[in-house]
Order: sequence, then structure tokens, then C-alpha cells
Amino acid sequence: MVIPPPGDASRASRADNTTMRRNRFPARKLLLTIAALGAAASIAGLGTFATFTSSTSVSHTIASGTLSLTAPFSRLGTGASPIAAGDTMQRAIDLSYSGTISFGSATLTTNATSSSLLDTDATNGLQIAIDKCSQAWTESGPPYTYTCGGSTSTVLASRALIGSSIALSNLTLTAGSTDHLRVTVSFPSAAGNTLQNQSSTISYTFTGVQRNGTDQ
Amino acid sequence: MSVTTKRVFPGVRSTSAWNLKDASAGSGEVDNSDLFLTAGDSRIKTTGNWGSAFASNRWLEFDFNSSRPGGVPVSAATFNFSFADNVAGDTACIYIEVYRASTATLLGSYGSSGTPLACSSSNVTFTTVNQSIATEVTSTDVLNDLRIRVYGKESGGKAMKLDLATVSATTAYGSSTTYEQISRDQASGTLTTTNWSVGTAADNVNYPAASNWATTFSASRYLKFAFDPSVPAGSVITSVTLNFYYRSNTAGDTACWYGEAYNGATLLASYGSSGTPQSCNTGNTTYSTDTVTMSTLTSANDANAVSDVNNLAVRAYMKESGGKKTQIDFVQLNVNYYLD
Repeated sequence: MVIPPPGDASRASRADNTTMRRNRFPARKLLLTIAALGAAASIAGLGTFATFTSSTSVSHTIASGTLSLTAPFSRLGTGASPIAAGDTMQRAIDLSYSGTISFGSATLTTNATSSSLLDTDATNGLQIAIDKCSQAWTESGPPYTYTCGGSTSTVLASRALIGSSIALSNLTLTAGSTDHLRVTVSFPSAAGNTLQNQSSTISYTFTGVQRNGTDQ
Repeated sequence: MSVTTKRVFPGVRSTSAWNLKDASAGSGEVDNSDLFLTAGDSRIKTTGNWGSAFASNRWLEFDFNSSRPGGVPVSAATFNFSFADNVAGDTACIYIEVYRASTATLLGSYGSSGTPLACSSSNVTFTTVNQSIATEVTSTDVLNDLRIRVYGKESGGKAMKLDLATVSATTAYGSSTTYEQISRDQASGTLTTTNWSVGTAADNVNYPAASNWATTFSASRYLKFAFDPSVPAGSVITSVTLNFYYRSNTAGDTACWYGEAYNGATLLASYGSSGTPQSCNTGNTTYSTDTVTMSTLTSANDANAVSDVNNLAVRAYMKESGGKKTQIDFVQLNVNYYLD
């Protein structure tokens, strides 16, 4: 999902599970900016009285960039069954910033499309943590596990799985780059027997927010 | 991502040996099973003398074992109780209350002092009550922590005979029977507590062999224990152990044992031998607390592990250096399993 610039929320596009939609940098805002420049020129012309006139024409081209967040690789669609307390599930996902505009931040929203105690019990239900590898994770399995040949950093410390607009840290977010993430969903060892025979389906939505505007 | 948990989490479920056959004499098996195990087995418990009217301080109690995996919904639970009057021509009546054992919380009652649940006017034919307690026992958490109190009266102020006290239960994964671990008799107004002899370790209650052992092992001299762990079909058994705590009955004597595991007549495994006992223990003050690993009964090693464990009978062959009896403090089967 891509969040539009302020004042243009109607252009937000929806994302499905694990996928990020691409969205052109809002054209309407660019057009409004160009119209304001023309009005200023006209006002300046109204204050000029001369017999002879001279004019120069300046061409000013402004091109909008693109803001694109995609997941060219994802294992998040791979479920796990049956699990027991103490089990962990590792799934890799690549977040690619393939537009020409960098992101300023990214968040994760998770919700249960099919719910049970696994997602409603914040303490003994499923927990999530995300870390990043400086290069693509080396995958083995299934069951999938990953090792990092580069350096790792924490994107999201362990917390209850379900949450809205959860801030993500240490992402590159730079246009043209890719973050290699490993999502670890864990089922706490302390989970009691009430969590036996439970089933949940979890949807993940990564949302990127455009960087702040700068002088261009 | 879809995630589903196991139907039964891995865990160790323990159950005592309720069924005990004693062949220590070497002349066949004598049934010394739990008195309340089965109806019609001629193993009868005679209570104290009741009052001729119900009274709040005259009752029996049964605390049941907790061998079921917790957190599993119970679809049907039934208290099975068989009793008769002890005196010809008299009438004995009962009603029951259902409790959580750990908290002594009353969950429900069936019958009352005014309207008994059942009566018996025979000292020959037992009256069997199969009372549904499904309203109270909704999950194995309750089943594993269950106490039934039986209030009684006897028209002549005499005793009752008891033949059966079990709780049968059904879950989505099968049926099982739960057995009494502790019985209390306060029929007379004075409490007498009886632990199942091999059900609890270090409770100062033990099972003394019925006869003296020989000084050497004999294939015809053994104790046989069966457990009824009710492992659900399809379960994966990851470990099985047996606790066997014993000592001699005589100071200075040495008792030894070795074991054999059977499913019916099929020998599954041996633990020690007549030449190399599983262990020996000298004296009559300290129990040998043996834990035998029965790895051949795990799913990794036995394609019929669930059946073999559910039908397991363990023979403990014993010898005693002075040709005397032994005391068995604790016999328990511990099965670690899960159900996907």
C-alpha cells in the first residue's frame, strides 16, 4: 500500500496480503503547482505600462516521480500446521522500492481474516519479529529457515502478531533498493492447552510513506 | 499465512497401574486391582455404617486421577457407580455431588436427601448408576481435577457394598475411563482415607505382595500391572517411562526385579533379566525408585505404539533373598505424546 501525500488521501490504493501496489506520484498536486506559477506571472504583467514590449519565454518542465513498493519474493503465504508451543516459523520477504521516489518510512499492519486465540491472545498467542539481512537470506527447507551471509539488523522487535501501522525500523527505503526481511512468527512456549486445536489466517500489509518534500 | 495448532500438545500424561495381578506365589494370578475398577469382579469395598437418614457428615468421596491431556472439550462424562446394601431386607440410597478436587468447589448435584438418585434393596444384586455429569465436566481440565461425593443412608444403619466408581468420558479424540486415586469413607461420620496402594509415591501406603517370593527368579512369579492410558488414536508417542518403586518387607533382605512389557500375549520388550536384574534394593526402609525408559514403545520405534501402550501390561518378576514379601510403593506409566 502506498500512502499519498497529505491532502490527497483519496489516491491511496489498497494492498492485498503481502503485496505492495505501485502508485504514480500524485499528478494532481503537480498540476496545481504549475497553475500557481502561471497566475503569478499574469499578476506581474498587469503592473507594467510601456510602449515597447519585450518578452522572453522560459520553459519549465516538471516531471513527477514514481513511488513503488513491491514484494518480488515472499514466503508469507506459506502456512504452518500443526504447530505446538515453542514452535517458530520463519518466512522471508523482499521489500523492493522500485520507483524513483524514496520512502520516508514504512509500517506493517496485520489482521486475522480467520481468527482464533492464536491471534486474540496477545500474550500466549502468536508473536512476530522481523529482522533484515544486508543481502538476500539463504533459505533452506521447508520448513523454512534462513541464514544471513551479511549483517543483520532488527526491523521489528518481538511483539504480539496483530497490530495496526506498526513502525518498522532500519529499512533502507531508498528508491531502487531492496530490503531482505525475515519474518519470524513464534508460538510461545508458555502457551497453554487452551490454544490447542486453534487456527488463524493472518494478512500482512506493508505500507510505505513517501519521503518528506524537499527543494528541487 | 494460515497457522493451525496441534489438537493435543506434546506432554507427559501419567497414569497409575489400576489393574494389578499378583502371581508372587507362583501359582497363577490373583486379582488385586483397584477395588472400584470394574463391576462384577468380586472385588468389593464395604463401607462404614451409615445413618438411617441422610446427613451432611456421612458420605463417600472419590478423587480421580488426572491422566488426560488438558484443555480438550469433553462431550460426554458419566459417573459410574455400583452399590448394594450389606444387609438383607434393608435399603440403601444415595445421591451425589460433583466437585473440583483442587478447590473443593461444588459444581453440581444429582438427587437429594429428599429425592435420592438411586436405592438398592438387595445385598446380592448391585444397583448400577450411570449418571451423566456432562454439565459439570465440560473439559479435560475438570476431568483431571474431579471429585465425586456420594451421600448415603441405610435403613438399618448398616454398611453398603461398593463395586464400581469410575468416570467415563468422551472427547473428539476418543473415550477414556478415569479411576479413583483416593477414596474417603465417612459413612459413619468418622473419616477414613484410602489411597490406591501404588497410585502415589511416598504416601506411606504400599502394595505388599500377596505371597512370599522365592530366593531366585521364576517365570511363574511376578506382579502384572496394566494402566489404561487411553492415548488417542493417531497420536505420536515420543517417550514412555515406567516408575517402579519397591523394597523388601524384611530388614536386611535384598529384593531384585526385572520387567517385561506385553500387549496381550506378545512380548514387546524386556528390562533386565533373571541374570541381570533391572535393580536390587536392600532393606525395608528405603524404596528403590526406578524409572525405566521404554523406548521400544515410542512411535519412532513401534508402528503400533499407540495400541501397544494402551494395552500395555508390565510384568515385574521379583526375588527376595530371604524368601519373603516385597512392598510396592508406586507404579506409574508416563507417556509423552501429541496429536496433530
